[in-house]
Amino acid sequence: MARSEVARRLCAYLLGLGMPAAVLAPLLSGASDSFPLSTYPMFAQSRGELTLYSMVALGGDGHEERLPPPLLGTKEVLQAKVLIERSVDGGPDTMAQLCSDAAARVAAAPGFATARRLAIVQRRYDPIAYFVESPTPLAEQRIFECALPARGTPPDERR
Amino acid sequence: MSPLARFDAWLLAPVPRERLALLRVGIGAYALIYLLARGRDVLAPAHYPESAFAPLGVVRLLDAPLPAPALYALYALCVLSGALFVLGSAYRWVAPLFALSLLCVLSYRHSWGMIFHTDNLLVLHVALLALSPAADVLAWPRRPPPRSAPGGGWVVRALCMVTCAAYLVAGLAKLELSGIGWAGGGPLRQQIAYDALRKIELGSVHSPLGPWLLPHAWVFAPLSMFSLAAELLAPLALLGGRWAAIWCSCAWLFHLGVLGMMAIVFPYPLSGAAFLAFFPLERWFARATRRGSD
Repeated sequence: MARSEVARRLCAYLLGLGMPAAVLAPLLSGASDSFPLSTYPMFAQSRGELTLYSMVALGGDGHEERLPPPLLGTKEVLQAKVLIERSVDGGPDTMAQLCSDAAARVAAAPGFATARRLAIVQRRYDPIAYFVESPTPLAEQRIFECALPARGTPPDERR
Repeated sequence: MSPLARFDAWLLAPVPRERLALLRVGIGAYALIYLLARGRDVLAPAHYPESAFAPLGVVRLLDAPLPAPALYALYALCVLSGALFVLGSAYRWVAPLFALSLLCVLSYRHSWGMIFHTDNLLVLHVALLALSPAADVLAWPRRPPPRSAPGGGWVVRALCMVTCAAYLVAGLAKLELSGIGWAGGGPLRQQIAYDALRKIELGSVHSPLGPWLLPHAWVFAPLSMFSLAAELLAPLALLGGRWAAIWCSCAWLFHLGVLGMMAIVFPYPLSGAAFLAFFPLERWFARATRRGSD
């Protein structure tokens, strides 16, 4: 067999088998989900109750209005969700940071004229019951609040 | 013939140069259109807060997010090299550059807390094509095909194996995380409810079909069995011919079901581009061009 043929076969085997093996590898290695090699965890796990965090604007009369993703610093709904979850995981300081950043955007944005404060709200749901029985959460709690700033002053915080 | 010799013959069996070239054009064109259509989303991280940066894959090499001009430049390089990849121009240099820049651009897009699993296969397919002689024909500028025998058959086989492996991993993940009970329909029903509720509460687009079916629990067992079978039986597609056609149809229907039930779009498989390597594209192309010239 000519040397070039050996090299061609070697390359074909290395890449032709190596790439599919790499795709299968996360199964065996127990690696976490990544890109482009994935464990494809979507739809795989049984889901129980769903805890959702959202950031809402609170009016003087207690009326709540959910902030759209751009006011949280992203254009995407799922990334907005991740941003809020990370700030909750990070504790009061990171929640304060997210809240004050959003408050500055809300203060500068049109709309939300009656809003006085922002809050990070935690709601717990039973997903099946939400659709089959009633769309009310099992539990609801405001876990962080901050005031909308007056121009040039930092927002105050309350846990 | 020993099993090893048979495998060797299968892996290395040559394919017409036109098939590789058509795969380059088909998958490359998909990647280019996808990059252009999703340009806003791909470039959106330029304005994301640094606190949301969660590097994945090759992006782990970075300590901090890229400056916005660097992201714009990387995207421009990716689009430009993608266009040349489709044309087959300066392929030896351009193709690896496109594969690498696509990996970087999409990895960066996924490095903000959310992985979009539809892009995994695309990046792997482009990487395999970039390593193959996929621009020997149907390339611009035109040049005579090389005199040596066509030798890219292993690339086509590898494209198919990578596709099957990805679906197999997804199926095995379900068994690993939920057990065979996943086929009973409960976890899928939960997932659809979870996904729809999350989207409704977050203010995103959701499918009305999934929530409409949720009170009818019996529907989800056959749907789960079909989904699991489509994933676990993916390796059968490597037998080629009808097996490949049947599996590709099932996998496509699975993604159509996901779209209908959860409004989750997997554009690469839904477009059909992810399954091109399973088919004799050169025959379809010859038939189409013959019909065109008649």
